[in-house]
Formats: sequence, structure tokens, C-alpha cells
Amino acid sequence: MNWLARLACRAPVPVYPAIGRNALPQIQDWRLDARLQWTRSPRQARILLVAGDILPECRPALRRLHDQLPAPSITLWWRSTPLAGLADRAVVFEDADELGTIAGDACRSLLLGDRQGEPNLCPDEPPAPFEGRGDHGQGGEGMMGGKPYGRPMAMTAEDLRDGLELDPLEFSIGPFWPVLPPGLAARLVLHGDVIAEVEITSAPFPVDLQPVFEQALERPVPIADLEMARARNHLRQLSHSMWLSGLESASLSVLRQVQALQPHDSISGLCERLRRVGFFFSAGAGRGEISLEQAERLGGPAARAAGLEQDARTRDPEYRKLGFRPVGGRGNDCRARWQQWLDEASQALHLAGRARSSGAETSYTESVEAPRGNVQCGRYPADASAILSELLPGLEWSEAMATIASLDLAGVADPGEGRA
Amino acid sequence: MTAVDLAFLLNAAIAVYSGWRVFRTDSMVRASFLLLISFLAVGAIMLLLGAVYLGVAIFFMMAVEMMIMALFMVMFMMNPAGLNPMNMVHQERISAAAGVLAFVALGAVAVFGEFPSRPKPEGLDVVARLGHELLGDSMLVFESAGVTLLATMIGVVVMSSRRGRYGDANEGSVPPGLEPGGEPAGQPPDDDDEEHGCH
Amino acid sequence: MDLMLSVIAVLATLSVGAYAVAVIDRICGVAMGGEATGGAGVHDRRNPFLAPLSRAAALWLAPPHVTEAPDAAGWRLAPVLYLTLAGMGLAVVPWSETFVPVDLATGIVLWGALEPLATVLIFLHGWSPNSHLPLLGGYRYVAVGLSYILVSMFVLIAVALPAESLQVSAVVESQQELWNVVRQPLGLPLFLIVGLGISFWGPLDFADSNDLAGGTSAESSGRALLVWQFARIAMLVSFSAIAASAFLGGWMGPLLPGPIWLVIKMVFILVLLLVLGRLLPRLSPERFMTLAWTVLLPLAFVDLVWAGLEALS
Repeated sequence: MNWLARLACRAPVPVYPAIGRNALPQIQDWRLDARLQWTRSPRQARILLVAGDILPECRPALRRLHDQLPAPSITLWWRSTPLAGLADRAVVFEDADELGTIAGDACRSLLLGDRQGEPNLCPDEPPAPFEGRGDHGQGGEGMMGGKPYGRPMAMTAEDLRDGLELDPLEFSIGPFWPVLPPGLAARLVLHGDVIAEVEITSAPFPVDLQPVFEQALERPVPIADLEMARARNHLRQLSHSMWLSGLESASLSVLRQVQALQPHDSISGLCERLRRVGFFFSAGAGRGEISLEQAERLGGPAARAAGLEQDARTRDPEYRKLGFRPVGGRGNDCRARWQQWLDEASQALHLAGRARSSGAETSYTESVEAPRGNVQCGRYPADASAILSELLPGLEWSEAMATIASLDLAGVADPGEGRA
Repeated sequence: MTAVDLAFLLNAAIAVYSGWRVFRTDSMVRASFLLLISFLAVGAIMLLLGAVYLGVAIFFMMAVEMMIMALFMVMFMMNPAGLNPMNMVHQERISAAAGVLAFVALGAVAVFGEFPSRPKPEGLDVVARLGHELLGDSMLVFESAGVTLLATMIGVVVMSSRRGRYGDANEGSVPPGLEPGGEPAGQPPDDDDEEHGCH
Repeated sequence: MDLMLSVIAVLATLSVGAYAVAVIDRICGVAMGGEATGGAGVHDRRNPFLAPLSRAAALWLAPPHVTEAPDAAGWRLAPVLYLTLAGMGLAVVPWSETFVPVDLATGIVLWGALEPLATVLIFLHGWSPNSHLPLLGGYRYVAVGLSYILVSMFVLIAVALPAESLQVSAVVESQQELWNVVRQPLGLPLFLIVGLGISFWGPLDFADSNDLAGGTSAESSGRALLVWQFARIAMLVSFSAIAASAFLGGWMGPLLPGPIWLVIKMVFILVLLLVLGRLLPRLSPERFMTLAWTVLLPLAFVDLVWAGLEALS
């Protein structure tokens, strides 16, 4: 079987990412590495990659996730402290380019049997003691309901679409699911595949403001740098939405474009391509409507798309000299927000090109328009995941996931409070 | 004992066994799919009997029907793989008696009946003959049955639709209240329907 | 002897075809700029011919995973039975004037029967692991599956009309003067949509989608996953065979022998399906159902009426 193992070593290494703080851009860059295969589910992975700092309240979930990978498996840690049970043999690395080699070596050692996998961290027992009235632990009404072994069993409830008495399905998802923002965990109640209730159990990890935006709060910075960072950010978020709706190839090519982005680049080719393949009619495009007050709470591109004219760049005379006018007003659904990202990214590239050639710098340091929203010294955009409880009920699953991906929910961390 | 005989015996055994398991399994989805297996075995027997179209049509129709039934099972009981054990049978004694009676009757017909021996003539194009029969001598029967089925389907969709002559079905089907905005008048007291311990 | 030859032909086509699909898919991916090609030392990974084999070997050696209280029989059988369905579908396709693995008199109806059976198996694959996300994947797929089964039936009946027979070999021979893709222009586009649906590929991937963490295969790993993916690709191969036979004239063509022509036409259909799979995004199930019942089904009716009028004249 040695030849089979050696043939298997040449395949990309299946890795499942547990994304912590500030690691999302690097994870996206790693998607372009051909030596790695990013699995959609932890069951199909051999390597668990923990990237970025994991907040203490999510560490029990990380332990459970670690056990969800089928044994034998190995965990790699990047800019993160290893879990208590694994500290002695943890593989920690700092240089992002090394991941391909390290993962390849780890997988090879597993395949050839040189290395045992890591032990399970959680005890192999049900999450809660047996509870129920009946002989088999069932409770509730008759044979249904109750919580055998701590798992809530199905019990009929009125379906929210037409009042038919059907079974809701209740489960929790997150905080390490790459489809959701890193750190977001929710308890969902579904009727069929329509979401009936959402309860956020863990807010997304706060994101650190990029250095160039932080500096802009203190002193003038080149506008070109600001706008390039903004364009990159918007295109990264768009590529995630594209991946979610099934355009995997296009999403990877966008990520490749982001890496090589230069001022005066044009993304009209991307816009045209997306329009032609029907991306603006894909799952969730016309749904996920936010009300004006929710848009107000969100700020940033989502608010501008919904028609609120909130852009700190309008107060900066340097921007006005470059001919900046805020774009927006397309609508309050997902399609409008995707279009807003595209519009703002192409506007940012255009501005960056003109600013690079004229050497313009910002002159207004009271507030800065970061990609997430308006940032002022001491006032940073807060976490907005609470609006999901109002927004998601009634949406079908794929529409709900597209809606979550089209919103920028994570709060921005205050650098004064100390960062990871 | 030719290959055809062996195939018949195998399919017959599968049909009977999976039919029995339908009533002994503890999950409704398993029950639907075991019933599907039973029907597929019967369809295979029809193929052996030379009824080429009918056999494949049975595969087709039974697959769709059992699939819809399984889906309804999941809708009414979101219980993947039957983790919650449940008793699937009602009124066992009457059903068992009826089943035994039906078996005895059909068995008597099968064993004591005089079936004609009419082997299919060589070179008979079964499908073409079936087609001529459906659209020739038996056209009235099949066309009226088809139209009746269509009317039934349309009727079901109309009846289960929420919109009625008096507005939304939930509101239009109850009498108005004695005061404006009050409870519907003349409704019998609501008694809890008792769960009899089954699904 | 004949039976042996038929079985070998079907199995060989499925295996070689599945490998070919994996290779073509990778080549399409690289051509469309959407494959990961970065990182040092990747000359091996870039080789499209070795990549499917190495991935299959990696899956073969991957550790298996068992959930708590699954329906073990259903979970393990579903991929195998799905592969069997693909084989059954391929068996009724004629390779030449004289060689048909199984010359069923109602081959067209068998293909109509394969689609609901495939739906049953995909649902079983989602329901058996006793887990939420696979159940949702299976559930979503069934809700939509019914919509395009009807479309496929009408399209296939339309193809059978000029042949005046339900046998696939007769359908192929009826295209002597003119291929069905020209005679019934609506047929092939509608049938391609059916093909994407039956192997839940690309825009119609409601069962194993990205937003469900892999859907019905979210809990599968190792060999079970390998067999499922192989079965899915085999279904694509088998579908391309019937599409080539029903619309592109099957084995008929000048100069080259029958089987070679069939392979060329199968590759053409496969490239079409793979490119569509990579190009188009996924619709929401509700939107697709609306599209199927209000647009595709009436178009299928029109196709059938067109075929009928042509057959009468």
C-alpha cells in the first residue's frame, strides 16, 4: 500500500480552517495555494488550521471542533495559542508562506504512519444526562418531544408560512464555520429549510482596523493607500459571496486579482462577467431587505446602498478635489449591497489612480470612512449581528447565508483596549 | 430451474420480506423506502413476465410516490434516522386479522384458480401493441381516467389553497364575532385531542 | 459471453469516463482561471492527469467517519446504488448498430424512471447520517427534483416520436437524415438542465452545496465520499451518453467506427455540462422551482407539440 500512500501524498492536503481574529484575509490568500484543499466540512479534513487568536469564550467550541476531525488528524497553529491539551506537541508557525510545506509534511507523516494523530480533547459522552418521562427517555407529548441525552427532539409547532403543524428543526451553528463571519455562532430553528428563529449565541470576533485607516485618524495619509485598501477589502468580501453562490472559479480569480491590484485597474470586466452569468439573480439576490434604521445601525456600504448618504469622505476637501461623489441608493437587498461593493471598489481604484499621480493626501482626520463604516477616534463601528434575529426569519437557507455574507457584521476593535 | 425462475423467486422473496419489514421498522422514512423496495421487486417480476412497459412504469411511478411519502414523513417528523423510537402500528389485531383473511383469499385464488396458458407470441412488439390498445379499443377508459385524475389534482390544489371566496381561508371559514373584532361566534368548546401514545 | 462483454463495456466506460470528466473539469477550471495554482513545488499538482488519481488515493486512505445512530444500511448503500443507476442508464445506450449492452424495449422510459430513483437515493444519502445539514441538503434537493423530472419526460417522449419506438437504438437510427438537436431545437437545452439536475451539478447543486457545508456529504469522509463523488461523475457520463444518443445521433457518423463517434459526442456534452457547472451560480430553490414550472415546463410542452406536428406531417 506504500505506492498508494505515496500517490496520496501528491494530492492537495485537506485542511479545515478555524478562523480567529484578523486571519480572514490570509485565509483567503491561502485559498490560492495549490498544495492545500480547503474542505467544506471538518469531517473531510486531515489538518485543522487554527489561524488568528481565538477568544476564550470560543475555546470550548474549538475543542469540540478539534474532535470533529476524524482521527488521526493534526492541528496547525498560526498566530494563535494552542489549546491546553495539545500544548506539548503543537505545531506552531509564524510565516504564512510556510503553510503549504508544513501541511504537506504533516499529511505525509499521517499517511505513511510516521506520526500518530492527536488525542481527542472532549470525553466521549452525551452532552447532558438522560432526561424524559417515558421508558426510552422521551418526554413532551406522547412519543414526541423531550430531550433524550440532552438533544431536543422534534415537537410540532405551527409553520410560519401557512400555520400547518409541522416539525421545527433546532440546532446551533458556528463559531468556526467559514460561511459565517469568524466567531459568529447562532441557534437556529428551521421549518423545512426556512429559518423561523435566530438567536445569536456568540458575536463575530472584532476585526482590527487596518493600519492605514488608523494612521488617517492622526495625520494625513496618501489617499491612494486608503482607497487601495478599501478596494481590496470590498473585492475580498465580494469573492466570498461569489464562492457561496457557486461561482468558485470566479471567486478564486477575483482573489488573484486582489493580490495584484494596482491603482487605475479596472474591474468592469468582472462586473460584466457577473452580470452575464446571472450572479445578480442567484440565491438571495432579491431578499435580505434591511429597513432604514437597520441600515443606520450597520453603517458603511450597506447604509449607502440603502440610500443613506453617510460617507466621511464628503467632508474632506482633498477628496472633493479628486472628484469624489458618494455612490449608493441601489436598494436594500443583497443585490444592491453586492452592486455597492463593486461600485465602491471601482470608484476607489479610480480615485487611487488619480491620487497616486497627484500625490494627494487626506486632510480631514476627525473621522475616516473605513470599509466597515465610519470610524472616529474613540467611536468604532460596533458589532451588528443582533439584526440577524430580525432579518433572517422567513428566509430560505441559501438566501439567509447570502444575506449574512452580504452584510459586514463584525465590530471594529478599539486599538486602545489592547489587541491580540 | 432456469435463470428466469431463479430471478422470479429472488424478487418474490425480496417483495415479501421488505413488505413485512415495512410494519416492523421503527422509522417512517425507512417504512417508505422498504415499501419502495417491495414495489421495485414487483416491477422486476413484471419485466420477467414480458410486460416491459408496465414494469419500468412501476419503477418510475413508485419511486416518485414513495419519495413524496418519505418527504411528508420528514415534514411531519423531523426525526433523521429515527433516533426517537416510536410504535408505528395502529389497531394491530384488526389489521392482522384482515391481512390473514386477504392472504387466504388471494392465496386460494392463486392456487385453485384456473389461469389460462397464453404465452406471448414470438416477435410481439409489446410496446406497440400496448400503444394501439391504449389509443384504440380502450381509449375511452384511459382518457376518462386521465381527465378524472387531472380534475382531482386541480381540486386538491384549489382546496388546499389559502385564498377562498371570502378572503384568506383562516378568516373566511369561521363566522364573524358578535362584537367587532371578537371571537368567532357559535364555536364549540375546544377540547384537547388526546394523544394515544403513538406518533 | 455477450453478457460479460456488456458488463465490461459499462464498467469500463464508467471508470474511464469518470477519470476523463475529472481531467476535463480541471482543464476547464484552469482555462477559466479558477484553479489554485500558487505555492512552491506545485508542478505535480498542476498535472491534470495525475490530480484525479492522487485525490482519489488520498480519499481512499482518509479515515472513515461514523455519526451517532445513522441508518447504516442506507448511508453505505446510497452511493453504491447511485452508481448502479448510472450503470443501468448507460446499459441501454447503443454503441454501434449491433452492440447494445441491454437492448430494453422501453429504454426511454427507463431513463425517466432513473431520475426519481436518483432523487430517492440522494435523499437517502442526506437523511441517513442523522445530521442536520445533510438532511437539509436532501430535503432541498427533493423539493426541487420533482420540477425537472416532468421536463425530462416530455423531452424524451418528443425524441421518441420520430422513432415511433421507446427503444434507444431506434431513437438513434431515426436520426439518420437529421439529428434531433436540429429537428427539435428546444430539446437539448432542456435536457442539459435535466442532466445538471440529476447529478446535482453546478447551478442545480442543491444537495451538496457550499452553503450547507457540503450538504449530503457533510458527514461523509474517506471511501464513502470517494464512492459518492465517483457515482456522481459516473451519472454525468451516463447522462452524456443518453443525451448524445437522443439528440446528437449517437454512434452514427461517417468514416470513424460507431463507438468512437459516440465517445466524441459524449465528450462534447460533458464539456458543455462542466463549463455550465463552473460558469453559472446557484439559484435559490424557490426561484428555480418557479422557473421550472412557469418557463421550462411550458417549453417542454411546446417541444412535444412541435415533435408531434413534425411526426404527423
